[in-house]
Order: sequence, then structure tokens, then C-alpha cells
Amino acid sequence: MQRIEIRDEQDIVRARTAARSLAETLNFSVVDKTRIATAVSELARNVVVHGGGGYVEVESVNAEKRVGMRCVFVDQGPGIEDVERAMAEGFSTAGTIGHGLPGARRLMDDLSIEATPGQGTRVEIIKWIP
Amino acid sequence: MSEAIPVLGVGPVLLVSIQNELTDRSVSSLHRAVLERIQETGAPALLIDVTASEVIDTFIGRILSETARMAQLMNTDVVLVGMQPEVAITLLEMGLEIPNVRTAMSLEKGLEAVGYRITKIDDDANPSVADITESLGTGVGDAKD
Repeated sequence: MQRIEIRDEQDIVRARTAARSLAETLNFSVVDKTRIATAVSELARNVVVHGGGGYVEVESVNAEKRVGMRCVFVDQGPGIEDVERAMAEGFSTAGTIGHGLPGARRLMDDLSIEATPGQGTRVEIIKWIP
Repeated sequence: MSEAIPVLGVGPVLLVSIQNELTDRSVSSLHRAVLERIQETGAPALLIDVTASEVIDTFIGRILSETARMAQLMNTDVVLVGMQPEVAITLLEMGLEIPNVRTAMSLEKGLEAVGYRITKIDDDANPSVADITESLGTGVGDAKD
């Protein structure tokens, strides 16, 4: 498991580079590597912009005879008041385009959010090797 | 690492090459750099080269789209060049569009799309020097005449 601190925009690049290199090691296809790196870029940016910093943990997973990769993003920000609304297309509280969360969900096999207002956000994404 | 992205001139055409390790700040500075150069040079066309971009997420996509739109407002033709297939698939899946921007597979095709062509100077002493001649009006090989 690799943990990358996410404080500023340099760390967004660092996070997606780390995710891409693990995806490479796990032999994901070129398109899947790009999907993973792009989703990680979106979510790492959310940690910086909305969460005021945090970290991501990147690791390979083995479950139900499947191999894949998991990234968990954690921040101590204000949390997401309305998760359903944040997942809706085009919604954004920070003046961004609002494709970030729903976009990342479509690129991955699984995306789950735990958010407590005032206590931060935890977003977990998983991509399985087909 | 967050230094500005260089805006190069290839003949009258402006060229911006987006590299992979792009930070948000350097993408943001793209707007201004491009607009300043267009104002200085009155360039008829801008090529945005994304050949080396392994990731175009919604933020980078939006900046590219905005830069293209601003350049168009300043009467500059914009062509997005060299997008990798996996990047195109990812953009599409995320529902991100870069509307009203022409695309080309390579720099050469991009130049052609805005009316320019790379031609070899027909000169034995300088066989490797390439030149850009306007393909509109003058034919290839006119450089020697």
C-alpha cells in the first residue's frame, strides 16, 4: 500500500503518477490505465479544492478471484452535505465544472463516498482487471 | 515544475504543446500566455498539441476548451492535435466535451487544416532544411523560383 499526501497541485500530479504506475504493474490495459489516472486526478483535485488537503492510499486488491486496484481518498474538509447532489451531473460548489465525481464514477467499476458534514470525506474507488 | 507552458511560433502559426506532468497552475497560465501571443502576433491559427498528454481530466479539459474559445473570439483558428485514443475514450466516458474545436491526428495534419504545409526546400546544398509554405495560392516547390 502506498500513501501519498495531497496538499497542493503538485501532489495531484504525484497521485495520478503513482496510480498509473501501479496500474502498469498490475497489467491494466492502456485505456484502463488512463481511466484510473484520470479518476485519481479528479478525486485528488477534490481533496485539494474541497477538502483542504488529505491523502490517498493506493493498493492492489485480491477478492473473489479477481485482481484489481483500490484508491482511497481521505480529507478532513467540510464534508459533502448532500452526496446525491454532488454525484449529479453538473453540480459543483466550488465553481468547477461539476463533472468530477460523476465522471470518476463512470471511469471506475466502483465508487463509494462516506461523508460526514464537518468531519471530512472518504472516497473509495476500485477498478478490476477484466 | 509549474512554470509557464511555452507558446511557440511555427511560421505565422502558434503552437502550444501540453506535457503530461502538467500542474493546474501551469494550465491556468495557458489562457493568458496564448492570448498575449495572439495579440502580439495576430496569428491566424493556434495548434494545441496534446500528443504527450496521458491524462486530460475535467479541469485540464475545461481549460483547453476555454483557451480554444478565447482564441476563436480573437479570430484565430484552433486545432487540437494528437489526442491519444485512450484519452478520447476517457473524455467521452466522463461526459466531457470540447465543443467547436477542430481536431487533427498529427501536427502536420493540424497545419494542413489551417492552410499550411511543411515542404522541403528544393536545394541540393540544404537537403534537410524544411520550410513552411502557405499552401493556399502558391504551389509546392515555388520556393525555388
